[in-house]
Amino acid sequence: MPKWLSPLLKFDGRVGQLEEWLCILLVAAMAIVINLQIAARYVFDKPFIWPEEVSRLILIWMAFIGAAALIRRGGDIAVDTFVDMLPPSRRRAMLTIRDLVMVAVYSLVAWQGWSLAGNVAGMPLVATEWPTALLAWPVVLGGVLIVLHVMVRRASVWSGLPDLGRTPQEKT
Amino acid sequence: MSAFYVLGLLVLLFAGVPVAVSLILVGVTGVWLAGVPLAILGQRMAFGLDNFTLIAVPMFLLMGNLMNASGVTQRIFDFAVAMVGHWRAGLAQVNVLGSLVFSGMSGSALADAAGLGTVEIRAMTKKGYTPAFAAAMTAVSATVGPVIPPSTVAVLFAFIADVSVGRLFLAGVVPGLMMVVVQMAIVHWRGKSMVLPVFPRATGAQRLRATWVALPALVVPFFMMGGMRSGIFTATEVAAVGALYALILAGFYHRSTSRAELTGAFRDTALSTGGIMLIVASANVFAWILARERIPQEITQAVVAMNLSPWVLLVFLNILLLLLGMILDTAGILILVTPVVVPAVVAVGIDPVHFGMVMIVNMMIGLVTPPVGMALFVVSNISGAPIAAVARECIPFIIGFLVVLLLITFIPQLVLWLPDLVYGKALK
Repeated sequence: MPKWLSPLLKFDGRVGQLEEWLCILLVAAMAIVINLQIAARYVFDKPFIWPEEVSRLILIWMAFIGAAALIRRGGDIAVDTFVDMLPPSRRRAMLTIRDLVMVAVYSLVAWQGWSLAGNVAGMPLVATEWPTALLAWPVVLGGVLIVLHVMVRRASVWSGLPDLGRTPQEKT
Repeated sequence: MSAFYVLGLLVLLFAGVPVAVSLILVGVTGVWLAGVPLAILGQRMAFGLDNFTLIAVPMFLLMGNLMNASGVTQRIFDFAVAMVGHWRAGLAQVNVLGSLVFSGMSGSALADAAGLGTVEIRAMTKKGYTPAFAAAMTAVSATVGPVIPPSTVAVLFAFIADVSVGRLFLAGVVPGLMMVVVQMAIVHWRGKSMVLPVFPRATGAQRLRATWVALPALVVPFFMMGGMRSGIFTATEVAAVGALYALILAGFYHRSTSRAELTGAFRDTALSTGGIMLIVASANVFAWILARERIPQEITQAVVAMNLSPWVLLVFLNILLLLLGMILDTAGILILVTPVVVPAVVAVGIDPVHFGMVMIVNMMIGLVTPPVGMALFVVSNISGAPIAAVARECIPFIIGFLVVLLLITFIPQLVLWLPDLVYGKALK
């Protein structure tokens, strides 16, 4: 294992931990907000209009951060059947191509999320009047995080570590 | 041109490129070829998830994960022992009944297999069942989860096909019970060739007590369906209330739940949600091409022009879905196939709720069919039995489920009777 790899792996692991903690908080926040909405309607007899918008925002953040955390753990949803039938050298080549494509596509996603955030700057959401860009930032963040995880995964495979980019069930 | 996009998507998928990436790549290519600004990519990905119904998915997942962590699984297990433990191959029957009860609180087959499954496999191997049979039973019985309400798969289908979540939930009750009866019959038959201990027959008082102890779990599906039917809650809200209820059970009632199990339940919820929602968002990019190239309309026209009977179309789609189910996971198939075929299905006069349930049962068969039977991987991991051995034990059940699939395909009333009874006939 080359010297530069271990701090990189460590950083990737830290980022992953942070993602998973954010995930836990987001799930909890979503459950709280929706239950609050119900309570406001039936218990306090005074419906709020903000919880629905906030819970939709939370879903988008949860989706992109959760997806990044899942990909770090090697849980990409893909058809592995045919790749697994290939001889080892071909298979490695296919997995390398897969990761390069992933880096390219998610860089594009992050970039387009960024320009979306710019385009909607100054526009408020309907209920909370929070910035609409809050819908775009998770796309940027998710794209960047996925690119990071995939690059670290590829770097560690090139350095001779096992490929974690398999579905978790197949690792065993 | 539309053939080019569909072919491109298939090539990418079969080359092992993740589903979400394949969808974005083909979508972006279409946007670029059409000379439309790429900004569509960001918009479609962000705004595609901006929907209240979709929130039901993480909330139902959370509910199931929390129920698994709450220790309520042990009570369900004891309840099932009291009811069917004295039958031939009693523990296998307990496995079937336990999964049925648990499916009323959980929306995902894999969570069922991993949670309750751990209890079931341990108990079965201890009593002398082979690990492969114990694992196969657990995987097979868990497939009932997404058919019986609540179901995250049903929420996704209802979202994409724009049908009522409540109707689709109820549509799963009869098919789910049919799957249970089929499993019990096969276990009874398989049990002949196994010398296995059974539990003593429980007395009436013992059964009553087991029912009382498991009551917090048993009532859940009835409250949820009642809450949705009466209009007190939307599907999303019912899911959130259910999650809160599960948390209360876990935190205060059972007390045996560790902090790590609790945080694990929350974390797994977000990770599964991320996997599903990334595909939903990417499919929304791909949907831009579907709309521009009018692919669903073209398929619908072709189907109508062929003058197919609804039955021929259903048989064709069933075969296609079974094949897809062998190589791709449930969320992927659902999000890829539903928007393309539902317009054609409706055009030939098939009720989309009927088709949705046929599709869900079909995909559940895929969960226990190699090579990509996700449930097989899960139970094989828990039990230590090789996948091939587990898969072999699944064969009689797969055949049984195929019979159920045929029945519900050709007798729509099996699916539609209950939702029509509760909600009234659907408006055409």
